[in-house]
Amino acid sequence: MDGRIDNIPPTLPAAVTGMGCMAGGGTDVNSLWHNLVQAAVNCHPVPDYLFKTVLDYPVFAAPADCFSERARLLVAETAPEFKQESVSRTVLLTCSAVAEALQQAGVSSDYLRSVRVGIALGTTVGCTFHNEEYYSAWRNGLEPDLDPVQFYLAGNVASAMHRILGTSGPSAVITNACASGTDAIGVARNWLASGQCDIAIAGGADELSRVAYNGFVSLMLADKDPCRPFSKDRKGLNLGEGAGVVVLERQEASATRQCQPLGWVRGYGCAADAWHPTAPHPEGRGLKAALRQALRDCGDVKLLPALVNAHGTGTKANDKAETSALAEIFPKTEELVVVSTKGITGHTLGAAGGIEAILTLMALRAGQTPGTVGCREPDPELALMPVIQTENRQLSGRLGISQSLAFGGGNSALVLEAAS
Amino acid sequence: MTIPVIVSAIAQLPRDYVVPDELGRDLRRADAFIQMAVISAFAAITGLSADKLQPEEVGVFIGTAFGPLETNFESLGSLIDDGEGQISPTLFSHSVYNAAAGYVARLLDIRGPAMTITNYGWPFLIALEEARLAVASGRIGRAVVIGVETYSDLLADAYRRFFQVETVPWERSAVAWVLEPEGAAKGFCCLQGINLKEFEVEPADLLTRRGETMTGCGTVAELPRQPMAYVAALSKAVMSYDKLPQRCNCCSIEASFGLAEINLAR
Repeated sequence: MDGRIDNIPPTLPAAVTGMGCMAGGGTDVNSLWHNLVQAAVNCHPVPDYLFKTVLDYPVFAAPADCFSERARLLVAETAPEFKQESVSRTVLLTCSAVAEALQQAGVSSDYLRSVRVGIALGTTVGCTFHNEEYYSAWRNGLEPDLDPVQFYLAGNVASAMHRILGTSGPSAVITNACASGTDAIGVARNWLASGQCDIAIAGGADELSRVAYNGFVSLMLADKDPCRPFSKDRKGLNLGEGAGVVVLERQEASATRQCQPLGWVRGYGCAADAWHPTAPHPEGRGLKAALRQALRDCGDVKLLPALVNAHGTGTKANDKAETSALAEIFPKTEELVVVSTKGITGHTLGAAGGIEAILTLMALRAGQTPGTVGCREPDPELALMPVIQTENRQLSGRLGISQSLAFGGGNSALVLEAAS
Repeated sequence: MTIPVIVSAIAQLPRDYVVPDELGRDLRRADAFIQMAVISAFAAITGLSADKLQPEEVGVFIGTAFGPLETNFESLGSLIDDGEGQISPTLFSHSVYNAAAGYVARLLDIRGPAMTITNYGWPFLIALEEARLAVASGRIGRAVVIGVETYSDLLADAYRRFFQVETVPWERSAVAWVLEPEGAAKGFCCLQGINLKEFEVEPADLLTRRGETMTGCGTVAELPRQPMAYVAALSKAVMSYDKLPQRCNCCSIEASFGLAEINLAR
């Protein structure tokens, strides 16, 4: 670096005033956290209500009815004409997470309609046209009913949430594969800092799809057993589904509403590996750049975070590259507390960054973190030793990092701080 | 910290593009979506000075409505034809929406932010504004912003049946802009900011783009009814900005699904 970037002042932090989730690992934030603490693993064969398969790679599926009662109440108020069947499962998952987050933030629908609301959501499956029945019929020369095409065109998850909430303001669906949710929170934080919106709803959402499931199997990245991130005997990931969403506000706005923040997004970094379509750079080159950027962005390049919630998918390449990068950025590896939460959520793709940011803040707020579910014997070849399942680690501070790596060589990191 | 941002280069790729020799090997397995994104970016930055810029100080931002839709369907076809667990790994990895950003980053050695934004309305403008914010904040010293659409046969068939027409109005295309801090390079004009409003519309309106118009920068024009028309019109306006007889501070684009204001300055 020539020092130019190093002299940039930190970006204004955004207050996190609400958190919500709906996932295979838990149907709201408290149940997800409880399941993590209890190491209660909801990893099962693909349920028929998602899709039928002869393969035996288990997944973390959200309930068949993933549209929570809280979401029903919210939508009844904001969009009385809304029909559940008019939107994708990804949008329903998002609605449930958003309803919980807004409730915790104490934000009414009237308030939302009176301000500029930024909605930034990450997804992968949620933006694709994957109606197999339509595609098969069309491919065979038939002219299937066009409803699935209309459904697809109405399915942009950020636009759909604006429509459902009756809000206006910036809208973006970030499709950065598995880093999408983390990037969406970073983008929303930037919107708030630059004055583009008054309040933001940000995170990620993804439903399980047959194509993604088979894609990961064909890439030989899936495990037939519950995943074991960082383990010596790890064999890959389990897919999951869900949504994880935070409500972000400028500090002064949350104070005006007399809302006590749960924490803050203090820094964000995003960087490309420039290496390979699916494999991470072996030394985590892009992740290191993203971490450095996030640390600069939070104004403390020498920060030793109290917790790193790693991407930790359980694939050989990811866990090795990720720990290598962390060990180089934070050389005091014996003091670094590193966990992965995918043993309890599965890899929820575009939702992962949202869900994991929430779990990071939950741990920082609790002052302790459960170990990595599924990791009993860490891989000695990793550059640092993550916290294993049977450990419960006290945290030495309130600042932590949640990070994501993605297909396409994307890497992103958030610096999060818990309120005291 | 807000740094004035200029548009320093624009490259538009025709539908019948040619893969440059120097990219041929690297793009041999890539689909048209990836190829067009890479080649347009390559054309846009060719000739620009890279003095003092580290790879980490350059970012790539892609805006697309439909992404690699054809490759998505080919992946689905591979699953149906080849059976479970046998989906082509290459097709699957290329069907991910940010595959193009990954290729651009790798082949142009861009190691700053790589962001793909998907929206049916004006995805290029959303990507452009994200890129502008990144440059204006000083986080990066150059942003390559790409608008790219390659559509799919299924989508074209749906269009024809929706509207009872013989031909679709679109053809694949890609446009790449380069944004840099003012003073770092010569540019067409300053990009001061973009305001977007979205309205609720019938989904089919997002395909027809009926009544989409652009006003400002010497134009009052109904745009061709296709999803990349606004990118082409805006690119043309910016490239001829210094030839305008009058100062123009704002280009407005109106459509049934929203309103966009692109604030420009000399």
